[in-house]
Amino acid sequence: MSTDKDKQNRKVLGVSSFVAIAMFGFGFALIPLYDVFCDAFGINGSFSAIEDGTYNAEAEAQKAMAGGVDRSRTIDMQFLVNDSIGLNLDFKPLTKKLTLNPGEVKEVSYYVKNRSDKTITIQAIPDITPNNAKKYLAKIECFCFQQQTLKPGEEKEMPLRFVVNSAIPETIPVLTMTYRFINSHYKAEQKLNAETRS
Amino acid sequence: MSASKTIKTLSRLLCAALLLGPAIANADYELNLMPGVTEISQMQYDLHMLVLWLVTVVGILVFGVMIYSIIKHRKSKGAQAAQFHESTTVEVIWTIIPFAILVAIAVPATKGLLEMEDTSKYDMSIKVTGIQWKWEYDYIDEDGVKFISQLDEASENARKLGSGVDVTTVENYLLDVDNPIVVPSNKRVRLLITAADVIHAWWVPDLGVKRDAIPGFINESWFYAEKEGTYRGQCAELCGKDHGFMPIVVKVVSQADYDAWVANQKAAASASAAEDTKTFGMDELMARGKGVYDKSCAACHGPTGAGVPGVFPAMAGSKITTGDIAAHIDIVVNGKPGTAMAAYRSQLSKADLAAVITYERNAFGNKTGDVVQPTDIK
Amino acid sequence: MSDHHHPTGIKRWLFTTNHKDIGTLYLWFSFIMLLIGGSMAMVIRAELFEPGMQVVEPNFFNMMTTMHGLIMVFGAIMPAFVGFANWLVPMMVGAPDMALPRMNNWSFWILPFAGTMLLMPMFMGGDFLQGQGPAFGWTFYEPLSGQYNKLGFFIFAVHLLGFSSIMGSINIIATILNMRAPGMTLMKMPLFVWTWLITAFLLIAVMPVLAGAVTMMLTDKYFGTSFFDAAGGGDPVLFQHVFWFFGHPEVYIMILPAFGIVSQIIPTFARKPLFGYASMVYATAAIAFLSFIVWAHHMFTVGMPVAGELYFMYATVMIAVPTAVKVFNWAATMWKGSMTFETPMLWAIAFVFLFTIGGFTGLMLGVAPADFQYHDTYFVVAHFHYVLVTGALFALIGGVYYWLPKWTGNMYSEKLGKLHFWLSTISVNVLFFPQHFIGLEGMPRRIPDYNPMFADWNMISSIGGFVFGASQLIFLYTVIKCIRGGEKATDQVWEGAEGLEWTIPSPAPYHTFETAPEVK
Repeated sequence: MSTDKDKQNRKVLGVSSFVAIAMFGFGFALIPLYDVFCDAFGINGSFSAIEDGTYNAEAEAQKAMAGGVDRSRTIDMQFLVNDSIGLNLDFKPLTKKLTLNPGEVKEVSYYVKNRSDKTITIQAIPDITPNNAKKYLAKIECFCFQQQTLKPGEEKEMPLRFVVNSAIPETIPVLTMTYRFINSHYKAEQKLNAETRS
Repeated sequence: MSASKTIKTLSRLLCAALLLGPAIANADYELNLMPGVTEISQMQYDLHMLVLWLVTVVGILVFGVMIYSIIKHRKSKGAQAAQFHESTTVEVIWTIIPFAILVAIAVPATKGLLEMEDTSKYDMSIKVTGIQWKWEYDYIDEDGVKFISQLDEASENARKLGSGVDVTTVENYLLDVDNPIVVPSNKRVRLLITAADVIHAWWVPDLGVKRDAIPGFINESWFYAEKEGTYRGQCAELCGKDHGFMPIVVKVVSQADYDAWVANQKAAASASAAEDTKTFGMDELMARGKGVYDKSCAACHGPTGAGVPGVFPAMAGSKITTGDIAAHIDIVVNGKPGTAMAAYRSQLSKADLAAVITYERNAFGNKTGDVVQPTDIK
Repeated sequence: MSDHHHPTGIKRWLFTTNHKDIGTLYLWFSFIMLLIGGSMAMVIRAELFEPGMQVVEPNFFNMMTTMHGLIMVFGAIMPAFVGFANWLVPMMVGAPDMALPRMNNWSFWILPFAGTMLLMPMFMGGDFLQGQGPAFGWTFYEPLSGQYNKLGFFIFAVHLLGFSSIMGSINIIATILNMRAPGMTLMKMPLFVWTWLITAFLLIAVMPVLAGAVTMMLTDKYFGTSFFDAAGGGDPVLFQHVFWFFGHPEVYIMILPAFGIVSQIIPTFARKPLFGYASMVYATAAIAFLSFIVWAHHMFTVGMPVAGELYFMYATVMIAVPTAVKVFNWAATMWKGSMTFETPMLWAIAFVFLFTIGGFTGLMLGVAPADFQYHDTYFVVAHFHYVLVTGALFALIGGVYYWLPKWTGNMYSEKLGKLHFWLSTISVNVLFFPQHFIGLEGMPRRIPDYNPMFADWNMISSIGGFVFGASQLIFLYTVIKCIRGGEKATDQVWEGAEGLEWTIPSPAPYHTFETAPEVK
């Protein structure tokens, strides 16, 4: 009787511990799941593909231009930068705003200068407001497609060529494209900092 | 507040309590949400009242039943306990009724939410950046209109522990700023909200806008105010030490006044740009530097440069302020990632940066004799 | 009474594997934590007594709000419920002890170390009055928490608390599933046992997620990852999603056992069986299930897509249905009963009224467009204190009075109990009801100072707070007095009490049900 109970108790202990460990893993799995979820609902648009390096610019552009140019309406575009936290950069759009017809290809450029005394490798992270506009914007060429390496004091003009799909709903009158840079070696440097601190 | 004031307030409250409802309702207290000045804030108020009335009615019914039962069905009154303990019919009924009430709430709530998130029109855009513990406003349609807005001086002085100031004498205590944002009435103002360090939240109740400011990401919100006036709000997300001291003031003015304000701002911006190449004398820099330090640095590093041991480094005799100039400039200009030290490049002009660095190197007993000029700031 | 030899003195408590001893340890630990967390609340209310900064520095204030929240949630409420489970679950299901008694010892003895580790940074290095401890809110949102330079203490304390909770839960599940007396079928179990079974499942499901979240914080801070760090390409909002995936079920972890306690007390003093037992069980399970799919209602203002906001709004307001069913069932249990109003019943009735008020404001908060105004104001503070203080804590105190005669063999002083009740109930409303008004007026939470327009209600609230705090000392006195002696309790204790724990002698002998009772 009592050994029976012990066996049952051990079973509950085993199964419950397994569930607890699995849920610990699930906590971590929420990170990629979040992206998967956002992709599935079109919240990230193709942006996570840019970060993953799996973005097919040509195919996206063709898809976006398939509907031709819609001359009957215009859309305002704004170009911004967001704080590149922890980087010493001079980073700004050279065109701050323009107006276009959906379906037409436009090119603007951003300016970046490395103001630190180290060579840095940086990656641009794009963002679009409003969120639901992401899926209508195709980038043909973007400095966010690859990492940039800048020597101390080096400056660069970086092109951004894009097209807004003419299928974009009329409820979106304005698109704000924002970029910020992150340090590609941030993780390694953070770790170094943590070690030197302790 | 002095002791006599405290007693006065208490006695006033006691009177109010004794006279019950009406006295409180007529006093200068607000008990309820305000309808605000925009359609959105009105909609939020209406929804609030709808749900409040519904729960009040439900509450009166349920509490009424319980109170009746507590009074009537007590043993001391000879009540005999019935033994019923189940009724599927009753259970089904009281599952369906709350559900029906919820549907009645969900319909207008859905409509309201869609209205709030409708960004299909806009007249102008302002980028709002939350910074520990102030706001930066960038009018992205107007070149050069970009400024920092922080707690006004009167409140700042009064809010110090042991300041000795009676805060009831400070006008708009903790709800006033040095540079309010100014917008024209009858315009749909689109806000692009972000942050430079930690999460903040931009909230002005009268405009019906509350939106988190998240570092690295941009959030969108909007308001359309018809009524001219000054509307006040505060940061609504805990953002560290001085979270309670970063208010928001929005001035809604006529288009003409707005245009004049913009012209003014642009003129001030070009004047400040001219200073970038100017050479200042030591005394000039020290005087200006003290002003900048007290406003932008003293909150953490202390008015006497003593810092807070273990939390915020001291300025007096520190390695940074008495060591290599370039390193000192670097930390002020670019901040220190992972800490509360912000990059002041985007918050202060080159002349202000030069002044404050000069000041830090020559105040609090630091005697480096170094003079930093605006042209030294890269 | 079986007279087994067991160690005495400190060794008895250190090495005990007896469910009653461990239950007692849990209850005393949580009471000490309640007093520590409560004194922090006194500091908060003292600073907010008047506008202007009078008592502490802003960072110290933030540390007080943070530590108050953490200690009350993880140190007071949760361990107190585990203490109840330890004492009562074996007695209610007719088991001689918990299923895994040695693990039981371990799950308690982790707690004092976790608590110490949580409190320790407050006293380390630098100036105590400047606030050296965690000051980033009990929700420890990134990136603010990442700025804190002693984060490691906090993270390991949370890990230890998590371990303790998970082990406690496994033990409770095993006891309930395997140790029931013959004839004690699942649908015959007292409701307290049911609510704890469901709570234990919730704990096993979400405590590890919290552990995952703090582990990611740890590696972000010290090992160069960037899960939540925007500077490395991480997303701070993601932290909130992970946190509230834990945090919302956590809210129900703190209230479901309270439902259980109240469902034991009300039928006893109404002398009438609980109305709708089965629907109570289903409603508890429904609430537990819903708690997993509503988390983002804590985050309406973070800028979710509108479809997400709509979904979380609908799912959230749905919780009102099973919760309403519970309240109706309690009301129906009282209806046509033959009620008496001993102290436990008073607390239980106050629970039903005041928890319902917290439920109402919860519904209001769930309505997303209005939540944009309520979010992060004192309205929210009022809401969750109605749920957690007049909800969870009131049920716990009521439960203590209810089972104290069984635990000690003595009746507590009814006079003192009632004094404690009336003082607490009046002052708690003076404390928290005005906070609804302050919040609607527009006062954000977690601020140390405010505009004088909020002054009057803050002062009233503070006065209520001081009285409420002081009345808990009456509780302490009453409990100690009862332990030391008093009128002897009968085995049945309460005229209307039903259940296995009332069939054994008072005080409950050290070993009970070594031969399983037969349940008809």
